[in-house]
Amino acid sequence: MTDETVGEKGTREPETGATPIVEGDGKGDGGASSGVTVKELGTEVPGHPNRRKAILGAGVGVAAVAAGAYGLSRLVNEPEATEIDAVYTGGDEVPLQDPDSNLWRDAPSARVVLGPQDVTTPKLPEAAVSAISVRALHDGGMIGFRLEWGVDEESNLTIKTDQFRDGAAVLFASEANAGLRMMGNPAQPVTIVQWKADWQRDVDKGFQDITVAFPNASTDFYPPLVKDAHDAVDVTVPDAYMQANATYRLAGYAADNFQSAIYRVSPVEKLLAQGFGTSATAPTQDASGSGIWTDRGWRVALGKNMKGSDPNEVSLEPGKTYGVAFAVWVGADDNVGARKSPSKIVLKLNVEVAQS
Amino acid sequence: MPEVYNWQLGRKMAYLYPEVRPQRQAGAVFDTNKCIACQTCTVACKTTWTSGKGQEYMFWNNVESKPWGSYPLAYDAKILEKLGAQNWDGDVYAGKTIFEAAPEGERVLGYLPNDLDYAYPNKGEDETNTTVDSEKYHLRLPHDAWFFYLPRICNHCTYPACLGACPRTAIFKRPEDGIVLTDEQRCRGYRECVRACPYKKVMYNHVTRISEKCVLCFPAVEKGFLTRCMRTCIGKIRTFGWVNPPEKADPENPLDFLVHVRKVARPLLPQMGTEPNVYYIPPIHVENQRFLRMLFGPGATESVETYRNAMEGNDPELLGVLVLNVASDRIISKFKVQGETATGWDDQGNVVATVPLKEPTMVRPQFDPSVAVYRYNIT
Ligand code: SF4
Ligand code: SF4
Repeated sequence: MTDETVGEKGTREPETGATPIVEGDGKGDGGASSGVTVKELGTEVPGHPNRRKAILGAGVGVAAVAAGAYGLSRLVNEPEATEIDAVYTGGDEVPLQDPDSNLWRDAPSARVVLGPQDVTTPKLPEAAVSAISVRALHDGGMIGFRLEWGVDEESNLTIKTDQFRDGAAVLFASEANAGLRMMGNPAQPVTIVQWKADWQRDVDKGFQDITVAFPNASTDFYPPLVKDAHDAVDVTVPDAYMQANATYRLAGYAADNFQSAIYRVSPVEKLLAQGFGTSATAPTQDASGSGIWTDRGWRVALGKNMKGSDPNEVSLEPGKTYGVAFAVWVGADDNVGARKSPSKIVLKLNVEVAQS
Repeated sequence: MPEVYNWQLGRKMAYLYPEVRPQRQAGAVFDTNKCIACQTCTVACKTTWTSGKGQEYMFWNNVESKPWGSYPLAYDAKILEKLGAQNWDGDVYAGKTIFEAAPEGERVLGYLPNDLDYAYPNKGEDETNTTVDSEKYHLRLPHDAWFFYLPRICNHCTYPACLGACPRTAIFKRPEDGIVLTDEQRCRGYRECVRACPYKKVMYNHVTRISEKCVLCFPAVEKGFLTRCMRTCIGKIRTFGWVNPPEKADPENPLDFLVHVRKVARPLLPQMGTEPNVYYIPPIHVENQRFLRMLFGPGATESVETYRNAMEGNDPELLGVLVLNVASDRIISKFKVQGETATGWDDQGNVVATVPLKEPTMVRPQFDPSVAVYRYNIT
């Protein structure tokens, strides 16, 4: 543990329950077995005391304290946040590449309650994760969020037909209007930044080729790449295809589909949407972030430029308020696309005035 | 859900979108009686479209042996089991389609195969329905022990389950020819289509991590040519062209003639409700008619009779349209049988094939004295 705050474990726990978790629930994530003490998981609001005071003083609902989500220390009755404060870093860069950075402690932790996706088909009738812990920072140029949630199993491959990935998204809306929760509408388009665990793996380890999922894969040949049968196993994506100028054999890549990128530089995608089924990769990709698997869940930092670079992109200015919503996907539960656990509400996003 | 008319079910049914039929619909008839499972079609498609990395397991065209073969494994048994026993009331389907049986919160009743399901494309190959334990089995028709080959491609359905299931409208049906395509720019790899297609003809690319499917060789079709799998068919089992709904059937159009006039060709698993546009002439040697009716609908038995009648020489017109199969690499949209000859025309009115109803045969003496060898009937 490098930090004291973790999000809550998913459907495996009752969402509303004050039910205390019985010691040694067999999941191996109890306080004792993971070596995390009650104190470490903490009930205090962490971070800079003055900072916290300033925020509370501004009348912001930051009641959602570090939700110390595991084992005996679970605080399932922690209040649900309705607002998120994006705290000004004082000039430091938002640590989007470091979800463990101490800078995140400058922002209060908010407990955002997730629910089922029961608005449009295909639905997810029961939330896979009941709540996440959220902190937000901005440096005047970038706005970033750190999300944490618990999940039993890491899902970071999408090679096989039945492999789905873990993921998380932040939706920015021009106002905290409940009607915008699901992808906005034509009059009020929304901007989404989505982190994906399989993209993170591509970024960390290089493109995850089929041999990662099928270690013994062999093929006679991949025209037009090789003539010799045994060379086929050495045909790697992306290198061999680029060298042979044969990427037309990778249709999604040839069609410029961002999902099919073979040189991945960021695990975060920026999307624009104006209603159900309309989300599309934004023309400019300046969102960034990074995720870390903690053995008990994910800690993910992600964000975007405050000033939008695409028409229809939501721009954010210090001192103003916006709408923000969240969603989480659990790959092990076959979550994908609309099969997600979105936040139950659109929260008010207060972007703190930038003053040192 | 809007109501649409599905003529294969003889009734209206629920679908995700209102009824919009394309200006013309590309379709095919496969004669299972002539298929020899040489897999030339499979290889033609494979080398044309799916030899890239990530597509190793894909067969947009496959040929499976019925009753046991299937690709992916037991796709038909699985969806039929999910749907549960359903009934026909004469020619009207009284059961539920995969749209009508969709569970709460889902668009379509379906399931997602895993990679092992795709690992046995030859499962059940050449296996008979029952154990052959005495010689009588091959001595009469229909056979007591039987199997037959079922070549399968995407059906370019009128009501595609894949299209209906995609929450991103990344699958579309072309208005000009009814070909169903995945938009390789819009797809985000959700695999809702893979889950939904009862024929499992949308597949997930392991490298590009999005879905792909049979494109009905649209670049060829646009130029008036047969698709790769059809034009390479050495068994000449495939009629390819345009198929109309029954009320617009044109008796001079080969597909309309087979599907609507003679009703010798039937859709595969019509009870799914997608109104597939690839039709099958059921095998005439299969004793188990219930199995045929499960696969091809209640008209299967009648089709068998019609076909047999033609093979006995009583229906030159039907014979004529079938001998035109793959007689040209051009799409035949009009045919005529005159005397002992069948003729096919393309869209522009050019004669593209003239075929005798009966191929001339020549019997040669077994011994050829000029070279002093005996001939054997293997060539
Ligand atoms: S056969 Fe399957 S993939 Fe083809 S159109 Fe029908 S539902 Fe879609
Ligand atoms: S029509 Fe073309 S793409 Fe479809 S199965 Fe046949 S060869 Fe393959």
